[in-house]
Amino acid sequence: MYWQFLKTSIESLLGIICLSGIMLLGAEWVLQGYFNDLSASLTITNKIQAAKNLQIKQVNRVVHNISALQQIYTPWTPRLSELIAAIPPGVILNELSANSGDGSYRLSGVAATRDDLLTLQNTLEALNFIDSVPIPLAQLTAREDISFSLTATKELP
Amino acid sequence: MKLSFKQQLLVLIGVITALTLLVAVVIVIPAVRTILELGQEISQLQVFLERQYQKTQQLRRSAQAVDELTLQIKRLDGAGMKKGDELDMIKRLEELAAASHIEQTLVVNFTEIPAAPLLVEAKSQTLNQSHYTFSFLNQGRFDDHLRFLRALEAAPEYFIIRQLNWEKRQHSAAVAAPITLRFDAIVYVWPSN
Repeated sequence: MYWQFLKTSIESLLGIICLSGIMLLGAEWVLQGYFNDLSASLTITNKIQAAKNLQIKQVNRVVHNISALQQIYTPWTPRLSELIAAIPPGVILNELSANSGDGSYRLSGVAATRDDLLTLQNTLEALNFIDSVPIPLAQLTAREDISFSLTATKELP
Repeated sequence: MKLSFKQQLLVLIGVITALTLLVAVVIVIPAVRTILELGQEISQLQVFLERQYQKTQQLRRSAQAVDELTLQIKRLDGAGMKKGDELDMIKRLEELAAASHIEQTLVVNFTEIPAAPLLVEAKSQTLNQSHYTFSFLNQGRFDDHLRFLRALEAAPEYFIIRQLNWEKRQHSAAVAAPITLRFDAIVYVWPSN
């Protein structure tokens, strides 16, 4: 009777272990599937992020290039228009040289009178991209038909 | 040899115990071990995904803006020239000069500079990149020169002009007196990466 009880108990244990084994295998299968899904979504996320990162890098590269160009670029036409508009009627320009490196403008020509030359100096100095236009003393001695050569400069920061 | 009932029972108990141990060793223990490992990996993966999700949430606005920005940035990408596009550019400049009634003499040079990270040399107002130098010797009226320069400024490429030299030979107030304009314009070539 005792041996019969032991046999039944061990049979039950075997049954329980077999059932547990089946359940564990099923659980493992489900977990493995879940793990695979997670890995797949991670791969997709990484791919999307990599693509976005590449796009951002390209955008940054172009912005960086444009920013560098903007630092050395000078839009000349608005300044030239203002400069020419500042020339009084009694002044004829023969040469004009504009340099963005030192922010200077060299003008030479003929002024009908000394007042025209002084008006030129004043109108040029009124421009926001010019600070000073010194007139050489030698050019102030003549009263009419003054051949002048001026250098207008902007004080660089 | 005939076994007694007790012996038969003992053998059966032994077989069942062996079977139980076999199932435990071959199936149950490895399955439990695998499940524990998977559980650990899934936890790590979940933490990682959680972080990624938070990052993605933070970057979501940027990512949405990037598509829009990419379209806009494509227009700016033409700020430089591609190597080999010089003939195209020469033709465009000739057309521009003709349209602005400018008599133009053009010289083009290419300066090759080894690829390096972009650096602005503020003093000389240059970049350490390969570039085309277009040397212009233009003749025409002042308004036409200005029109030509405006057209250059409106072009997608950045024409970097450091110096402009205007010269009028005649001492005359005549509006139509021809003016000579000399300048060098630099257009940079971006590395193709």
